Amino acid sequence: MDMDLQAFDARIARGELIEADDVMPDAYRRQCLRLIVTHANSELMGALPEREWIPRAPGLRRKLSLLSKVQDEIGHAQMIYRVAEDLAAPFDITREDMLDDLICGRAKFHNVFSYPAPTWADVGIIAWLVDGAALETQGALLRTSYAPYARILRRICAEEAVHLKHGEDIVLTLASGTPSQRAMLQDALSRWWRPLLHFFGPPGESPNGDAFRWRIRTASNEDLRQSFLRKYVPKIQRLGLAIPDPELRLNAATGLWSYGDPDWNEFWQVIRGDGQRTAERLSLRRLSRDEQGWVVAAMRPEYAA
Amino acid sequence: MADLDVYEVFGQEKPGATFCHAGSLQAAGPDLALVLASELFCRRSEYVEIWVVPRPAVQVAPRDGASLGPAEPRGYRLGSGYRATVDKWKRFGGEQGADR
Repeated sequence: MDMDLQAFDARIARGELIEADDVMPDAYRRQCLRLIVTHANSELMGALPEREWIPRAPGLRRKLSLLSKVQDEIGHAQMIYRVAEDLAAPFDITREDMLDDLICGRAKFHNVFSYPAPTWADVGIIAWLVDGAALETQGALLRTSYAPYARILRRICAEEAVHLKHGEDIVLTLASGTPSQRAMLQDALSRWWRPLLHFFGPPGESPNGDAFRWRIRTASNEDLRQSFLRKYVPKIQRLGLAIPDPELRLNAATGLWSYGDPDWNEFWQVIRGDGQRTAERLSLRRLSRDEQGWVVAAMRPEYAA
Repeated sequence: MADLDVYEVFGQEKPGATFCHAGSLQAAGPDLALVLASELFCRRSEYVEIWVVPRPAVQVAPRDGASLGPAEPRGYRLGSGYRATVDKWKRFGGEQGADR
């Protein structure tokens, strides 16, 4: 795009926000798009492990909570793909292209959604800690320079905060339950601890200097992880649960948590699309698209009154 | 989904309140746009009324244009341009202005 890069950088440096119809460098547009599409994909894929639990949720109240959480996540995906569509229009990329890329394994989604959720305690841990981790990331993105994304994130964060409460309630109930319920909770935490450390990405892995220079992102992977650990480690310990990392400790002088190597090779393996449940969840996504295609078709202009 | 239209969604949080922009969506026609808008933006009774407006109907004024107000100071149009009244009232005795 023909534009003055320096003028754009100066706008960002003045703290100005960028709107969808503003002139922006292609590189800025691509970086925003990559971040936003990955987020939309993650909302969509994140609903899948939880959806598996709707028929098995213990009790009507839990079923309603989980159903509405899944509905929220799909709604978030819809709203974020909409923001992505406006960004992608100059590249002639449509929402269908984005969904195709996801199904064919060409696009990324968040690592945590490639893991199984074998017990009800996993549902609690996901809603409490995975959504808690997501709130760290999305909370920082409220300050992104791309205004349409920031606006929709305000709505999304408010709903994610409710999901977190729902997860907290499940975890607190299990933690004050029978020994076997506590054991189930401990097992779920142990399963999810490593993916949770992976959630924010490797330390020092600055995505691309431009993402920070342009304020597309405002917090580093490690800052976000530390903020997560500061909030949740004391709560997990208060519940009497064991965190499966003997090296986890707080440095009182710096206020930073140090942790054992969470095996970043596993992280990269998942990111490459080779996670425990990646293929299965993508095929589930493909199946929903095929089976529910008639709904999409019924909503097309030729049928709409 | 290139043949669907984009609608801008506006919502009113309570009766009498100003309508605010909520977001946008794609739909085939205004009826489906309203259905989708309530699905997407009203799951928690956020609004008492919503509007959907086809995006091409929204005319946007140039952001730096003179139509959004002249650049020179225009305190005379604002309440803050009349702070001197506080001191002026003091000449007439009493603690404060009559309406404070």
